[in-house]
Amino acid sequence: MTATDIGWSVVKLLIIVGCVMLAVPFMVLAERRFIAFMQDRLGPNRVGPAGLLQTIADGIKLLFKEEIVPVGADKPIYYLAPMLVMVPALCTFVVIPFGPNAQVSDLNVGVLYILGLASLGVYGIVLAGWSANSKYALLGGLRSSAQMLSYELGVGLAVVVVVMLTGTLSLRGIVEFQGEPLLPLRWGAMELSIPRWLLFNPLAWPALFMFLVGGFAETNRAPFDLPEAETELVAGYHTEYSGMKFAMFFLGEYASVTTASAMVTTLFLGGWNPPLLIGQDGFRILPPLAWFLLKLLSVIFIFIWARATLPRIRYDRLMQLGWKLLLPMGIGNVALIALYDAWKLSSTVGF
Amino acid sequence: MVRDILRSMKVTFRHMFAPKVTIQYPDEPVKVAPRFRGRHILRRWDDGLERCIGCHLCSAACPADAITVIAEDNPRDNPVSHGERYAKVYQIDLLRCIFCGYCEDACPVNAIVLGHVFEMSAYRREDFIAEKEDLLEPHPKSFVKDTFFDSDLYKRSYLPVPAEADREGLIESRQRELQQALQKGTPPISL
Repeated sequence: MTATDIGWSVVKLLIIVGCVMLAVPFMVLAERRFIAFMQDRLGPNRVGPAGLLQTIADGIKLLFKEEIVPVGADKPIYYLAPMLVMVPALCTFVVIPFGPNAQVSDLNVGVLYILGLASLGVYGIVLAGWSANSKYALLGGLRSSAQMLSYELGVGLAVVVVVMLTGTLSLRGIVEFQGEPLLPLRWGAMELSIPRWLLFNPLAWPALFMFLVGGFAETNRAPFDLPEAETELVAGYHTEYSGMKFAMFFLGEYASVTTASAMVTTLFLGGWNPPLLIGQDGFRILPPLAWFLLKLLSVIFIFIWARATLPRIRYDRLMQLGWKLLLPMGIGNVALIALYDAWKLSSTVGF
Repeated sequence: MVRDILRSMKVTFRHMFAPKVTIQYPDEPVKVAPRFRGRHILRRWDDGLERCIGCHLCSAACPADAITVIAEDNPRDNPVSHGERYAKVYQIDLLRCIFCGYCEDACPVNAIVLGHVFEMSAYRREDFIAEKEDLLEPHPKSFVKDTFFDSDLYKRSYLPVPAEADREGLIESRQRELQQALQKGTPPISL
Protein backbone atom coordinates (compact mmCIF):
# COMPACT_ATOMS: atom_id res chain seq x y z
CA MET A 1 0.00 0.00 0.00
CA THR A 2 1.49 3.29 -1.06
CA ALA A 3 1.13 6.63 0.62
CA THR A 4 -1.38 7.83 -1.97
CA ASP A 5 -3.54 4.77 -1.34
CA ILE A 6 -3.59 5.55 2.34
CA GLY A 7 -4.32 9.17 1.57
CA TRP A 8 -7.27 8.24 -0.61
CA SER A 9 -8.56 5.88 2.04
CA VAL A 10 -8.45 8.66 4.61
CA VAL A 11 -10.30 10.99 2.27
CA LYS A 12 -12.97 8.36 1.56
CA LEU A 13 -13.21 7.60 5.25
CA LEU A 14 -13.75 11.23 6.13
CA ILE A 15 -16.38 11.64 3.42
CA ILE A 16 -18.30 8.53 4.43
CA VAL A 17 -18.16 9.17 8.17
CA GLY A 18 -19.06 12.80 7.55
CA CYS A 19 -22.01 11.77 5.41
CA VAL A 20 -23.19 9.31 8.03
CA MET A 21 -22.93 11.87 10.80
CA LEU A 22 -24.84 14.35 8.65
CA ALA A 23 -27.42 11.80 7.60
CA VAL A 24 -28.29 10.64 11.11
CA PRO A 25 -30.23 13.81 12.09
CA PHE A 26 -32.26 13.58 8.93
CA MET A 27 -32.88 9.90 9.52
CA VAL A 28 -34.18 10.71 12.97
CA LEU A 29 -36.41 13.37 11.47
CA ALA A 30 -37.60 11.04 8.70
CA GLU A 31 -38.42 8.46 11.30
CA ARG A 32 -40.35 10.89 13.45
CA ARG A 33 -42.29 12.28 10.55
CA PHE A 34 -43.06 8.95 8.90
CA ILE A 35 -44.25 7.51 12.18
CA ALA A 36 -46.30 10.62 12.80
CA PHE A 37 -47.93 10.31 9.40
CA MET A 38 -48.69 6.67 10.00
CA GLN A 39 -50.36 7.70 13.25
CA ASP A 40 -52.41 10.43 11.49
CA ARG A 41 -50.29 13.16 13.06
CA LEU A 42 -48.06 15.73 11.40
CA GLY A 43 -44.88 15.30 13.40
CA PRO A 44 -42.25 17.98 13.93
CA ASN A 45 -42.66 20.61 11.22
CA ARG A 46 -41.93 23.90 12.91
CA VAL A 47 -38.12 24.21 12.86
CA GLY A 48 -36.99 25.10 9.38
CA PRO A 49 -38.84 24.17 6.18
CA ALA A 50 -40.96 21.05 6.84
CA GLY A 51 -39.14 20.65 10.14
CA LEU A 52 -35.85 19.83 8.46
CA LEU A 53 -33.80 21.50 11.17
CA GLN A 54 -35.66 19.90 14.08
CA THR A 55 -33.03 17.30 14.93
CA ILE A 56 -30.24 19.81 14.47
CA ALA A 57 -31.96 21.96 17.07
CA ASP A 58 -32.34 18.90 19.28
CA GLY A 59 -28.65 18.15 18.85
CA ILE A 60 -27.70 21.67 19.86
CA LYS A 61 -29.97 21.33 22.86
CA LEU A 62 -28.26 18.09 23.85
CA LEU A 63 -24.89 19.78 23.48
CA PHE A 64 -25.81 22.31 26.14
CA LYS A 65 -27.38 19.84 28.51
CA GLU A 66 -25.84 19.04 31.84
CA GLU A 67 -23.80 15.87 31.96
CA ILE A 68 -25.22 13.83 34.78
CA VAL A 69 -23.22 11.10 36.45
CA PRO A 70 -25.23 9.08 38.97
CA VAL A 71 -23.89 8.55 42.47
CA GLY A 72 -22.16 5.19 42.66
CA ALA A 73 -21.60 4.98 38.93
CA ASP A 74 -18.46 3.22 37.78
CA LYS A 75 -17.06 6.35 36.23
CA PRO A 76 -14.45 5.16 33.71
CA ILE A 77 -16.82 2.54 32.32
CA TYR A 78 -19.72 4.97 32.45
CA TYR A 79 -17.76 7.36 30.24
CA LEU A 80 -16.47 4.61 27.98
CA ALA A 81 -19.81 2.94 27.25
CA PRO A 82 -21.31 5.48 24.83
CA MET A 83 -18.11 5.48 22.83
CA LEU A 84 -18.18 1.71 22.72
CA VAL A 85 -21.61 1.91 21.17
CA MET A 86 -20.88 4.64 18.67
CA VAL A 87 -17.40 3.82 17.45
CA PRO A 88 -18.05 0.23 16.28
CA ALA A 89 -21.25 1.40 14.62
CA LEU A 90 -19.26 3.95 12.64
CA CYS A 91 -16.38 1.55 11.96
CA THR A 92 -18.65 -0.76 10.00
CA PHE A 93 -18.95 1.83 7.25
CA VAL A 94 -15.37 1.16 6.25
CA VAL A 95 -16.23 -2.00 4.34
CA ILE A 96 -19.67 -1.14 3.01
CA PRO A 97 -19.55 -0.86 -0.77
CA PHE A 98 -21.63 2.22 -1.57
CA GLY A 99 -20.47 2.04 -5.17
CA PRO A 100 -17.72 0.46 -7.28
CA ASN A 101 -15.32 3.20 -6.20
CA ALA A 102 -16.99 4.26 -3.00
CA GLN A 103 -15.67 1.68 -0.61
CA VAL A 104 -12.94 2.62 1.81
CA SER A 105 -11.47 -0.83 2.14
CA ASP A 106 -12.43 -4.15 0.59
CA LEU A 107 -11.52 -6.56 3.35
CA ASN A 108 -11.54 -10.16 2.20
CA VAL A 109 -13.49 -10.99 5.39
CA GLY A 110 -15.79 -7.96 5.19
CA VAL A 111 -18.90 -9.82 6.30
CA LEU A 112 -17.19 -11.23 9.36
CA TYR A 113 -15.78 -7.80 10.15
CA ILE A 114 -19.25 -6.30 10.19
CA LEU A 115 -20.68 -9.15 12.25
CA GLY A 116 -17.84 -8.77 14.72
CA LEU A 117 -18.27 -5.03 15.09
CA ALA A 118 -22.04 -5.36 15.40
CA SER A 119 -21.51 -7.74 18.30
CA LEU A 120 -18.96 -5.42 19.83
CA GLY A 121 -21.61 -2.71 20.06
CA VAL A 122 -23.40 -4.83 22.66
CA TYR A 123 -20.50 -4.35 25.03
CA GLY A 124 -21.24 -0.66 25.10
CA ILE A 125 -24.87 -1.31 25.94
CA VAL A 126 -24.11 -3.93 28.59
CA LEU A 127 -21.43 -1.77 30.18
CA ALA A 128 -23.70 1.27 30.11
CA GLY A 129 -26.34 -0.75 31.94
CA TRP A 130 -23.82 -2.11 34.38
CA SER A 131 -21.93 1.06 35.22
CA ALA A 132 -24.85 3.42 35.71
CA ASN A 133 -25.82 1.98 39.11
CA SER A 134 -29.49 1.92 38.20
CA LYS A 135 -31.85 -1.03 38.18
CA TYR A 136 -33.54 -0.02 34.95
CA ALA A 137 -30.26 0.39 33.13
CA LEU A 138 -29.03 -2.91 34.47
CA LEU A 139 -32.14 -4.72 33.27
CA GLY A 140 -31.76 -3.09 29.88
CA GLY A 141 -28.17 -4.21 29.63
CA LEU A 142 -29.05 -7.75 30.68
CA ARG A 143 -31.79 -7.96 28.11
CA SER A 144 -29.50 -6.64 25.44
CA SER A 145 -26.88 -9.30 26.03
CA ALA A 146 -29.43 -12.11 26.06
CA GLN A 147 -31.12 -10.74 22.97
CA MET A 148 -27.89 -10.39 21.11
CA LEU A 149 -26.90 -13.98 21.84
CA SER A 150 -30.14 -15.36 20.49
CA TYR A 151 -30.18 -13.28 17.35
CA GLU A 152 -26.53 -13.39 16.43
CA LEU A 153 -27.04 -17.06 15.57
CA GLY A 154 -29.82 -16.37 13.12
CA VAL A 155 -27.94 -13.51 11.53
CA GLY A 156 -24.75 -15.55 11.39
CA LEU A 157 -26.50 -18.43 9.64
CA ALA A 158 -28.16 -16.02 7.21
CA VAL A 159 -24.72 -14.73 6.34
CA VAL A 160 -23.47 -18.28 5.95
CA VAL A 161 -26.22 -18.83 3.42
CA VAL A 162 -25.14 -15.75 1.49
CA VAL A 163 -21.52 -16.83 1.59
CA MET A 164 -22.42 -20.31 0.37
CA LEU A 165 -24.37 -18.90 -2.53
CA THR A 166 -21.86 -16.26 -3.57
CA GLY A 167 -18.67 -18.06 -2.58
CA THR A 168 -16.97 -15.03 -1.06
CA LEU A 169 -16.72 -13.19 2.24
CA SER A 170 -15.79 -9.90 0.64
CA LEU A 171 -18.70 -7.50 0.39
CA ARG A 172 -17.51 -6.22 -2.96
CA GLY A 173 -17.30 -9.80 -4.17
CA ILE A 174 -20.85 -10.45 -3.02
CA VAL A 175 -22.13 -7.38 -4.87
CA GLU A 176 -20.19 -8.22 -8.01
CA PHE A 177 -21.59 -11.76 -7.92
CA GLN A 178 -25.09 -10.31 -7.83
CA GLY A 179 -24.36 -8.07 -10.80
CA GLU A 180 -24.01 -11.05 -13.15
CA PRO A 181 -27.03 -11.74 -15.36
CA LEU A 182 -29.35 -14.44 -14.09
CA LEU A 183 -32.15 -14.50 -16.60
CA PRO A 184 -31.61 -13.13 -20.10
CA LEU A 185 -34.70 -11.54 -21.64
CA ARG A 186 -35.21 -10.13 -25.09
CA TRP A 187 -37.34 -7.06 -25.78
CA GLY A 188 -37.14 -6.10 -29.45
CA ALA A 189 -33.52 -5.54 -30.31
CA MET A 190 -32.65 -4.85 -26.70
CA GLU A 191 -30.91 -7.39 -24.63
CA LEU A 192 -32.20 -7.29 -21.11
CA SER A 193 -31.35 -9.48 -18.23
CA ILE A 194 -32.26 -9.77 -14.61
CA PRO A 195 -29.21 -9.80 -12.34
CA ARG A 196 -28.64 -12.59 -9.86
CA TRP A 197 -29.65 -10.71 -6.80
CA LEU A 198 -30.14 -13.06 -3.92
CA LEU A 199 -33.61 -11.54 -3.58
CA PHE A 200 -34.50 -13.36 -6.81
CA ASN A 201 -33.16 -16.65 -5.49
CA PRO A 202 -35.77 -18.62 -3.51
CA LEU A 203 -32.99 -20.46 -1.71
CA ALA A 204 -32.01 -17.18 -0.04
CA TRP A 205 -35.48 -16.08 1.03
CA PRO A 206 -35.35 -17.69 4.49
CA ALA A 207 -31.95 -16.08 4.94
CA LEU A 208 -33.36 -12.69 3.97
CA PHE A 209 -36.15 -13.11 6.50
CA MET A 210 -33.70 -14.16 9.19
CA PHE A 211 -31.35 -11.33 8.42
CA LEU A 212 -34.12 -8.75 8.50
CA VAL A 213 -35.56 -10.00 11.79
CA GLY A 214 -32.09 -10.36 13.23
CA GLY A 215 -31.28 -6.86 11.99
CA PHE A 216 -34.22 -5.42 13.91
CA ALA A 217 -33.05 -7.26 16.99
CA GLU A 218 -29.38 -6.40 16.61
CA THR A 219 -30.05 -2.71 16.29
CA ASN A 220 -32.41 -2.81 19.29
CA ARG A 221 -35.24 -1.46 17.22
CA ALA A 222 -38.95 -2.01 17.64
CA PRO A 223 -40.41 -4.65 17.85
CA PHE A 224 -37.26 -5.86 19.59
CA ASP A 225 -36.40 -2.71 21.53
CA LEU A 226 -36.43 -4.58 24.82
CA PRO A 227 -33.16 -3.08 26.11
CA GLU A 228 -34.74 0.33 25.77
CA ALA A 229 -38.39 -0.55 26.50
CA GLU A 230 -39.68 2.90 27.49
CA THR A 231 -42.89 1.50 28.91
CA GLU A 232 -41.12 -0.87 31.28
CA LEU A 233 -37.58 0.34 31.89
CA VAL A 234 -37.86 4.14 31.67
CA ALA A 235 -35.21 4.25 28.92
CA GLY A 236 -33.37 1.00 29.49
CA TYR A 237 -29.61 1.01 29.30
CA HIS A 238 -29.33 4.77 28.72
CA THR A 239 -31.70 5.81 31.51
CA GLU A 240 -28.97 7.62 33.42
CA TYR A 241 -27.27 9.24 30.45
CA SER A 242 -27.79 12.82 29.42
CA GLY A 243 -26.39 15.38 27.04
CA MET A 244 -23.89 14.32 24.44
CA LYS A 245 -23.36 10.88 25.97
CA PHE A 246 -27.00 10.17 25.32
CA ALA A 247 -26.62 11.63 21.85
CA MET A 248 -23.81 9.17 21.22
CA PHE A 249 -26.10 6.25 22.03
CA PHE A 250 -28.63 7.74 19.69
CA LEU A 251 -26.07 8.24 16.96
CA GLY A 252 -24.84 4.70 17.47
CA GLU A 253 -28.34 3.30 17.16
CA TYR A 254 -29.05 5.11 13.93
CA ALA A 255 -25.64 4.36 12.52
CA SER A 256 -26.21 0.68 13.19
CA VAL A 257 -29.64 0.90 11.56
CA THR A 258 -27.90 2.31 8.52
CA THR A 259 -25.33 -0.47 8.67
CA ALA A 260 -28.00 -3.14 8.96
CA SER A 261 -29.87 -1.63 6.02
CA ALA A 262 -26.68 -1.37 4.01
CA MET A 263 -25.97 -5.02 4.78
CA VAL A 264 -29.44 -6.07 3.62
CA THR A 265 -28.86 -4.04 0.47
CA THR A 266 -25.44 -5.50 -0.10
CA LEU A 267 -26.17 -9.11 0.72
CA PHE A 268 -29.64 -9.52 -0.78
CA LEU A 269 -30.62 -6.56 -2.94
CA GLY A 270 -27.59 -6.55 -5.20
CA GLY A 271 -25.79 -3.56 -3.73
CA TRP A 272 -25.13 -0.96 -6.38
CA ASN A 273 -26.49 -3.08 -9.26
CA PRO A 274 -29.62 -1.94 -11.08
CA PRO A 275 -32.59 -4.32 -11.01
CA LEU A 276 -32.45 -4.74 -14.78
CA LEU A 277 -29.35 -5.00 -16.92
CA ILE A 278 -29.76 -3.47 -20.35
CA GLY A 279 -27.46 -4.33 -23.24
CA GLN A 280 -24.21 -6.21 -23.24
CA ASP A 281 -22.23 -3.89 -21.01
CA GLY A 282 -25.04 -3.47 -18.50
CA PHE A 283 -26.19 0.05 -19.33
CA ARG A 284 -27.26 1.88 -16.22
CA ILE A 285 -30.10 4.38 -15.92
CA LEU A 286 -28.84 5.70 -12.60
CA PRO A 287 -25.28 5.82 -11.31
CA PRO A 288 -24.38 2.88 -9.04
CA LEU A 289 -24.23 5.06 -5.93
CA ALA A 290 -27.79 6.25 -6.57
CA TRP A 291 -29.04 2.67 -6.84
CA PHE A 292 -27.31 1.81 -3.61
CA LEU A 293 -28.73 4.80 -1.75
CA LEU A 294 -32.20 4.16 -3.16
CA LYS A 295 -32.17 0.60 -1.85
CA LEU A 296 -30.59 1.70 1.41
CA LEU A 297 -33.32 4.27 2.02
CA SER A 298 -36.02 1.76 1.16
CA VAL A 299 -34.67 -0.70 3.72
CA ILE A 300 -34.37 2.07 6.31
CA PHE A 301 -38.00 2.90 5.53
CA ILE A 302 -38.90 -0.72 6.31
CA PHE A 303 -37.17 -0.31 9.67
CA ILE A 304 -39.22 2.82 10.39
CA TRP A 305 -42.39 1.24 9.08
CA ALA A 306 -41.97 -1.80 11.30
CA ARG A 307 -41.43 0.45 14.29
CA ALA A 308 -44.65 2.31 13.56
CA THR A 309 -46.57 -0.92 13.18
CA LEU A 310 -45.43 -3.61 15.55
CA PRO A 311 -45.73 -3.59 19.33
CA ARG A 312 -42.82 -4.72 21.45
CA ILE A 313 -42.55 -8.47 21.63
CA ARG A 314 -42.55 -10.15 25.02
CA TYR A 315 -39.17 -11.12 26.42
CA ASP A 316 -39.66 -14.90 26.47
CA ARG A 317 -41.27 -14.77 23.02
CA LEU A 318 -38.20 -13.04 21.74
CA MET A 319 -35.99 -15.83 23.04
CA GLN A 320 -38.34 -18.37 21.55
CA LEU A 321 -38.27 -16.65 18.19
CA GLY A 322 -34.50 -16.57 18.21
CA TRP A 323 -33.76 -20.09 19.39
CA LYS A 324 -36.77 -22.06 18.23
CA LEU A 325 -37.53 -20.42 14.91
CA LEU A 326 -34.59 -18.53 13.48
CA LEU A 327 -31.89 -20.99 14.49
CA PRO A 328 -33.60 -24.12 13.07
CA MET A 329 -34.61 -22.12 10.04
CA GLY A 330 -31.02 -21.07 9.48
CA ILE A 331 -29.69 -24.58 9.91
CA GLY A 332 -32.37 -25.86 7.54
CA ASN A 333 -31.50 -23.23 4.97
CA VAL A 334 -27.80 -23.99 5.15
CA ALA A 335 -28.49 -27.72 4.85
CA LEU A 336 -30.78 -27.10 1.90
CA ILE A 337 -28.14 -25.17 0.03
CA ALA A 338 -25.49 -27.73 0.92
CA LEU A 339 -27.70 -30.50 -0.48
CA TYR A 340 -28.47 -28.45 -3.57
CA ASP A 341 -24.76 -27.83 -4.16
CA ALA A 342 -23.97 -31.49 -3.60
CA TRP A 343 -26.68 -32.48 -6.07
CA LYS A 344 -25.37 -30.01 -8.63
CA LEU A 345 -21.84 -31.22 -8.09
CA SER A 346 -22.84 -34.85 -8.41
CA SER A 347 -24.74 -34.17 -11.59
CA THR A 348 -21.77 -32.39 -13.17
CA VAL A 349 -19.05 -34.72 -11.93
CA GLY A 350 -21.26 -37.76 -12.17
CA PHE A 351 -21.09 -40.01 -9.19
CA MET B 1 -48.08 -14.74 12.15
CA VAL B 2 -46.27 -13.36 9.16
CA ARG B 3 -49.58 -12.76 7.43
CA ASP B 4 -50.89 -10.80 10.40
CA ILE B 5 -47.77 -8.71 10.46
CA LEU B 6 -48.08 -7.93 6.77
CA ARG B 7 -51.73 -7.03 7.25
CA SER B 8 -50.92 -4.60 10.03
CA MET B 9 -48.09 -3.15 7.97
CA LYS B 10 -50.66 -2.48 5.26
CA VAL B 11 -52.82 -0.59 7.74
CA THR B 12 -50.00 1.69 8.83
CA PHE B 13 -48.98 2.28 5.23
CA ARG B 14 -52.49 3.32 4.29
CA HIS B 15 -52.66 5.68 7.24
CA MET B 16 -49.61 7.49 5.96
CA PHE B 17 -51.86 9.05 3.32
CA ALA B 18 -54.89 9.53 5.53
CA PRO B 19 -55.98 13.05 6.52
CA LYS B 20 -54.23 14.20 9.66
CA VAL B 21 -56.02 15.07 12.86
CA THR B 22 -53.50 17.64 14.02
CA ILE B 23 -54.73 21.24 14.07
CA GLN B 24 -51.83 23.66 13.72
CA TYR B 25 -53.41 25.80 16.38
CA PRO B 26 -52.05 29.32 16.24
CA ASP B 27 -51.97 29.11 12.44
CA GLU B 28 -55.31 27.38 12.04
CA PRO B 29 -58.41 28.26 14.06
CA VAL B 30 -59.70 25.66 16.44
CA LYS B 31 -63.31 24.76 15.86
CA VAL B 32 -65.24 24.73 19.10
CA ALA B 33 -68.56 23.05 19.72
CA PRO B 34 -71.64 25.25 19.11
CA ARG B 35 -72.44 25.30 22.81
CA PHE B 36 -68.87 25.88 23.93
CA ARG B 37 -68.71 28.08 27.00
CA GLY B 38 -66.03 30.68 26.49
CA ARG B 39 -65.71 34.30 27.51
CA HIS B 40 -68.90 36.15 28.37
CA ILE B 41 -70.70 38.55 26.09
CA LEU B 42 -73.12 41.20 27.26
CA ARG B 43 -75.72 41.49 24.56
CA ARG B 44 -77.79 44.37 23.25
CA TRP B 45 -81.25 44.58 21.78
CA ASP B 46 -81.51 45.23 18.09
CA ASP B 47 -82.19 48.90 18.77
CA GLY B 48 -78.80 49.19 20.46
CA LEU B 49 -79.97 49.38 24.08
CA GLU B 50 -78.36 47.07 26.59
CA ARG B 51 -80.30 43.99 27.57
CA CYS B 52 -78.92 43.96 31.08
CA ILE B 53 -81.38 45.42 33.55
CA GLY B 54 -79.09 45.21 36.56
CA CYS B 55 -81.13 42.58 38.41
CA HIS B 56 -78.14 40.84 40.08
CA LEU B 57 -79.53 37.38 39.30
CA CYS B 58 -76.37 36.32 37.51
CA SER B 59 -74.28 37.48 40.39
CA ALA B 60 -76.50 35.54 42.77
CA ALA B 61 -76.38 32.42 40.64
CA CYS B 62 -72.62 32.51 40.20
CA PRO B 63 -71.10 29.64 42.22
CA ALA B 64 -67.64 31.19 41.98
CA ASP B 65 -68.80 34.63 43.02
CA ALA B 66 -67.10 36.09 39.99
CA ILE B 67 -69.71 38.62 38.91
CA THR B 68 -70.09 42.06 40.38
CA VAL B 69 -73.12 44.12 39.35
CA ILE B 70 -73.87 47.62 40.54
CA ALA B 71 -77.21 48.78 39.21
CA GLU B 72 -78.54 52.28 38.87
CA ASP B 73 -81.88 53.81 37.90
CA ASN B 74 -82.31 54.04 34.17
CA PRO B 75 -82.29 57.68 33.10
CA ARG B 76 -85.64 58.35 31.40
CA ASP B 77 -84.35 60.92 28.94
CA ASN B 78 -81.41 58.81 27.76
CA PRO B 79 -82.16 55.15 28.60
CA VAL B 80 -79.39 52.58 28.67
CA SER B 81 -81.65 49.56 28.90
CA HIS B 82 -85.31 48.78 28.42
CA GLY B 83 -85.78 48.14 32.11
CA GLU B 84 -86.25 50.29 35.16
CA ARG B 85 -82.58 50.00 35.96
CA TYR B 86 -79.35 49.24 34.17
CA ALA B 87 -75.95 47.91 35.18
CA LYS B 88 -73.69 50.80 35.96
CA VAL B 89 -70.85 48.46 36.78
CA TYR B 90 -70.63 44.97 35.39
CA GLN B 91 -67.43 43.12 36.19
CA ILE B 92 -66.48 39.49 35.72
CA ASP B 93 -63.36 38.18 37.38
CA LEU B 94 -62.19 35.74 34.70
CA LEU B 95 -59.76 34.12 37.10
CA ARG B 96 -62.63 33.17 39.40
CA CYS B 97 -65.08 32.25 36.67
CA ILE B 98 -65.48 28.53 36.16
CA PHE B 99 -67.43 28.90 32.91
CA CYS B 100 -70.38 26.91 34.20
CA GLY B 101 -72.95 29.01 32.39
CA TYR B 102 -75.25 29.47 35.39
CA CYS B 103 -75.27 33.22 34.79
CA GLU B 104 -76.66 32.55 31.34
CA ASP B 105 -79.41 30.39 32.81
CA ALA B 106 -80.22 32.91 35.50
CA CYS B 107 -80.50 35.92 33.21
CA PRO B 108 -84.17 36.79 32.56
CA VAL B 109 -83.35 38.82 29.45
CA ASN B 110 -80.53 36.72 28.01
CA ALA B 111 -78.19 39.63 28.44
CA ILE B 112 -75.21 37.56 29.43
CA VAL B 113 -74.17 34.63 27.29
CA LEU B 114 -70.96 32.66 27.10
CA GLY B 115 -69.18 33.13 23.78
CA HIS B 116 -66.66 31.10 21.84
CA VAL B 117 -63.54 32.98 22.82
CA PHE B 118 -61.12 30.91 24.84
CA GLU B 119 -57.91 32.91 24.37
CA MET B 120 -57.92 34.85 27.61
CA SER B 121 -54.30 35.13 28.66
CA ALA B 122 -52.84 38.28 30.12
CA TYR B 123 -49.65 39.37 31.79
CA ARG B 124 -51.14 40.97 34.90
CA ARG B 125 -53.79 39.72 37.25
CA GLU B 126 -55.67 43.00 36.98
CA ASP B 127 -56.19 42.37 33.29
CA PHE B 128 -58.35 39.38 34.06
CA ILE B 129 -61.13 41.51 35.43
CA ALA B 130 -63.39 42.07 32.46
CA GLU B 131 -65.25 45.35 32.64
CA LYS B 132 -68.59 46.07 31.05
CA GLU B 133 -66.90 47.73 28.08
CA ASP B 134 -64.86 44.59 27.47
CA LEU B 135 -67.90 42.34 27.53
CA LEU B 136 -70.47 44.50 25.79
CA GLU B 137 -71.48 43.67 22.27
CA PRO B 138 -70.79 46.64 19.97
CA HIS B 139 -73.67 48.93 19.15
CA PRO B 140 -75.39 47.77 15.94
CA LYS B 141 -74.87 51.19 14.37
CA SER B 142 -71.26 51.55 15.44
CA PHE B 143 -68.53 51.51 12.84
CA VAL B 144 -65.93 50.33 15.27
CA LYS B 145 -64.32 47.24 13.93
CA ASP B 146 -63.88 44.85 16.77
CA THR B 147 -61.98 41.70 15.92
CA PHE B 148 -63.48 39.93 18.87
CA PHE B 149 -67.09 40.49 17.95
CA ASP B 150 -66.61 40.55 14.19
CA SER B 151 -64.87 37.20 14.15
CA ASP B 152 -66.85 34.09 13.36
CA LEU B 153 -66.17 32.89 16.85
CA TYR B 154 -69.08 34.98 18.07
CA LYS B 155 -71.87 32.92 16.62
CA ARG B 156 -73.46 31.10 19.44
CA SER B 157 -76.70 29.25 19.42
CA TYR B 158 -78.76 30.70 22.21
CA LEU B 159 -82.49 30.99 22.38
CA PRO B 160 -83.38 34.66 21.88
CA VAL B 161 -85.98 36.00 24.25
CA PRO B 162 -88.56 37.83 22.22
CA ALA B 163 -89.51 41.34 23.17
CA GLU B 164 -92.54 41.82 25.41
CA ALA B 165 -94.84 42.63 22.51
CA ASP B 166 -93.93 39.47 20.65
CA ARG B 167 -94.27 37.15 23.57
CA GLU B 168 -98.03 36.61 23.34
CA GLY B 169 -97.85 36.15 19.62
CA LEU B 170 -95.20 33.54 20.10
CA ILE B 171 -97.23 31.65 22.66
CA GLU B 172 -100.19 31.74 20.30
CA SER B 173 -98.17 30.44 17.41
CA ARG B 174 -96.68 27.70 19.58
CA GLN B 175 -100.15 26.64 20.62
CA ARG B 176 -101.27 26.71 16.98
CA GLU B 177 -98.33 24.52 16.02
CA LEU B 178 -99.18 22.17 18.83
CA GLN B 179 -102.79 21.90 17.70
CA GLN B 180 -101.73 21.21 14.11
CA ALA B 181 -99.21 18.66 15.25
CA LEU B 182 -101.78 16.88 17.35
CA GLN B 183 -104.20 16.81 14.44
CA LYS B 184 -101.52 15.37 12.15
CA GLY B 185 -100.39 12.93 14.80
CA THR B 186 -96.74 13.94 14.66
CA PRO B 187 -94.91 14.51 17.93
CA PRO B 188 -94.98 18.21 18.84
CA ILE B 189 -91.25 18.41 19.43
CA SER B 190 -89.24 20.56 17.11
CA LEU B 191 -85.53 20.99 17.50
